[in-house]
Amino acid sequence: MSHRSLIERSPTGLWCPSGGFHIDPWGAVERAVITHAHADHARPGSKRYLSATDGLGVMRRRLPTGRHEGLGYGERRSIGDVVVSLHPAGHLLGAAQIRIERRGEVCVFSGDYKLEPDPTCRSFEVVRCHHFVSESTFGLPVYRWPNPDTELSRLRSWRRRCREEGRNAILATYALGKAQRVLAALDADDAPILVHGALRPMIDAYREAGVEMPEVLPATREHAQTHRGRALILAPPSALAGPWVRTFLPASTAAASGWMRMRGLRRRRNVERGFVISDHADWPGLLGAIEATGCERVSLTHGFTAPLRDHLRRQGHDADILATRFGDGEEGDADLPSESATEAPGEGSADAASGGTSLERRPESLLFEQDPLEDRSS
Amino acid sequence: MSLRRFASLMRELAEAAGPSARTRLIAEHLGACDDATAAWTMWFLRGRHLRRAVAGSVLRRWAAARADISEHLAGICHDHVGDLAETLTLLVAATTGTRHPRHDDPPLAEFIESSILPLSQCHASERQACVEAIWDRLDEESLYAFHKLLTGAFRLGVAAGVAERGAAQALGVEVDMLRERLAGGFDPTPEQWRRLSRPPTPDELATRPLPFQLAHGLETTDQLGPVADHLVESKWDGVRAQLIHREVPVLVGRGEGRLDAAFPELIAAAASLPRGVVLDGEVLLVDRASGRPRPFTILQRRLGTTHIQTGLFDPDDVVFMAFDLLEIHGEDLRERSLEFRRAQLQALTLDSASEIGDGAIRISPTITIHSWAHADRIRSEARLAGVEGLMVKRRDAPYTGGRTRGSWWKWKTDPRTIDAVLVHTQGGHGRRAGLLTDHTLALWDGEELVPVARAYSGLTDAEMTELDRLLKRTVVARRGPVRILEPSIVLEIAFDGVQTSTRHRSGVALRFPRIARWRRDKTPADANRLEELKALLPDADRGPSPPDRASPPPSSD
Ligand SMILES: [Zn+2]
Repeated sequence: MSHRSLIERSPTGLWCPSGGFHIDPWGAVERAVITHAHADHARPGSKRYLSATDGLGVMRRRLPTGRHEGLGYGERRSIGDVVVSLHPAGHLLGAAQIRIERRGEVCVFSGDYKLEPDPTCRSFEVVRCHHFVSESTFGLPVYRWPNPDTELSRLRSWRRRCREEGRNAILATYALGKAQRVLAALDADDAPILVHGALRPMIDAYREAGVEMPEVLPATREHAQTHRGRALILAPPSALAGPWVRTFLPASTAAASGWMRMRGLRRRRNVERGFVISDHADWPGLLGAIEATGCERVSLTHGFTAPLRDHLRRQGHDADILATRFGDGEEGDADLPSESATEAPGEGSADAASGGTSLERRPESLLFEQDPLEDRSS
Repeated sequence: MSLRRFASLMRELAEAAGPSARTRLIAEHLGACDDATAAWTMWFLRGRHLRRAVAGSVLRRWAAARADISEHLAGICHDHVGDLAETLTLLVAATTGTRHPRHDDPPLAEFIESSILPLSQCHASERQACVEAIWDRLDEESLYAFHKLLTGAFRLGVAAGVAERGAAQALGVEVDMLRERLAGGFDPTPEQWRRLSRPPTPDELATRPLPFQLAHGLETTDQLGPVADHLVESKWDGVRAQLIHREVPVLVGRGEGRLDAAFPELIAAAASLPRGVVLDGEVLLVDRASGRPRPFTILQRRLGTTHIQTGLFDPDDVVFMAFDLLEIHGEDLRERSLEFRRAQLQALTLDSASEIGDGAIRISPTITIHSWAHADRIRSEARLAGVEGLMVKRRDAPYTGGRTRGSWWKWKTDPRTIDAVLVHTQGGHGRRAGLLTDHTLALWDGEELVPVARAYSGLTDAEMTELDRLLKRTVVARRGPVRILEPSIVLEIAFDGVQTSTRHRSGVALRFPRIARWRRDKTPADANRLEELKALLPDADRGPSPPDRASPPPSSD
């Protein structure tokens, strides 16, 4: 094993010294390899971006400046002293784990990932490695996902029930990934489907990439009139907390997110219904993925890093925490829409109790599986 | 009703919008289940819970072992989830699915009696095995209900009145009677549940109140018609009740049930009423020195008390201010006109030996008015007399208790107002969902802003939206759903009264605070001071009464 790590932390983000590139940097850099297009991982300002070919359209819309280059899943590319390849992470269209190899030593950076099948993107692929850097957004044993198909059919029956009652069904989804995953599970029976303007560009990008989704209409006042009480309306969480929503009353509100697993979070979010549909791995998913890589060492980034580290150590793993800014909403606070729910109970105390290692997420961003910055386009 | 069905009742009650929806849910559930289960459900609805058989920390340890995590991690989960029953459920649910793909759904009563209650009896060493066996056989929703019951932290969170109305509907009995029967003690047995629905006994018939007639708010007298068709009297700020003397004297509050124990003076006085009388009126505490009623908060301390020490040194008289007569000599007068009933009420004074007039039972004086404008002038002075305003009633109308629209009107004194600073806010519900509309308002106390009221209503939709936008820019911190604001907005708050309060940091509580208008012309520095609000406290609440504030009651005939 080499004296120098394949991935280190630098002021501008994670850095691969042997390859001379950054991974999902939060600062502006010369050369960035990007796991996926969510705003906490794909930040503007860098000169060159390398990401999975499948998601190039999405990536270009998110980061219009800078030179973009695609790399097919599994394709090997030499950069500096290392060989880089991208492997499906199952998180959303074009999401990749980054595999870095130097003289037989392999490190995999997971980015965000989930294990369940998702018709809008390639499924998570296990990549054997020595060092695995895993996210831990839902790294507590209380997070176990129900079958996503069950949740999606609950969502559809809620939608039908609303139509019978003459109410619109307004669903809060993140603009990138979740909205398209939900749409792809719907069909003509669910029409009319209206979408908030903030969701539109990414839906278009998915369509261009060949993902099939039913027809959607813009959520305008006119369409609200025409389809009053019958529409399914997708909107970013921020829109549900603002005056926007009042154009679409009478309505029932719901949210699709892993956080909806908790009754308290559901209540605080002020939605009538919660559907547990997440684009992240749950507790068994995280443990299973880490195990499957066969890694000798695991480093944890954003989420419940300390509890997961302690549990892994208890199981005999060599586990540590790699502090990053992923999942952090700090730059977004000024613009943070007043998403109606805010704090998750006890996260602070969980942090303190687990030895004081920083949980990087702020309470405000807890309800966002991704960076709240993502909704800025609204 | 099975355990799972009970679990969904818990969820539905939490999600139901408003008391009438909850009443309906309760009626449906109680109506559909067997007596044993209905009895348990009713018992829980009344806010009772099982004795905790196993300590929470012990349960958490067992759940941690089962989920194969450290106790420390289970503690972190508990902190994150916030609720022990839910934490246990989430940790345990994952471990049951594979072992027992087919879950049990036992009837609620059987489950409590044969699975939960024995836990307190069985030896400590066997308890874990018993709990594990239950964990093995339940699905997630039932597990949650089980943990709620087991941890004794169980609250259905339903107001007593709602539970009683729901149960009365399910049983097909009158709610007043049901309330009395429950007040006599209720154990969760099928026999006791059945006892609730048996026909009224002679005793119950003799103490049963008649449905109260309600009054509606009056904004203007324009539509009322001639003054001469109406009877006007003070609107007393007390406890609405019926004083009944059919067989034995009883006092029944509207919503409070029997008040005999809280006001023994009135029971004693009612014994001298002729048999077969039902009076409708208001229970008041009257300051003996000034002859003025004391604020409602003082009276409230008496409610729920069972041992009253009365003495010569008590500065207050307990008074039943009667304003209607519903039965006399056992005859129901409710179909007769108010004019007639009122005359009979006055006549009671003449031909009975009771102390009606200046004793514990008095007749609410009618107020002679010459025009609505005259009435309005009297109303504006009403507060000085310690009353809430005027009651206006049609002289020819029958007593229509239990119906929503009647012929009685309450004409309250104009509200008082104060300028307060908006200091906290949170999101509204229903129509106001998504907008910051639930405001906490504060007054200056020295250099500090002290919250005095929460108010929701009063602004137009356009103002609400505009204010929402402004407020979002002034948020300085968040505490749960509450946004702490940089003080910038001044709102004029209207309220009906102010009382001392030990529950509020300001030491005062407002009655019916609402937003009168948005004072765009004012900055926080212009807002009122707490001492200015305290100056509005009724004398009795502030200590000795300054002589210049004593004032005569409204002119009466
Ligand atoms: Zn992501």
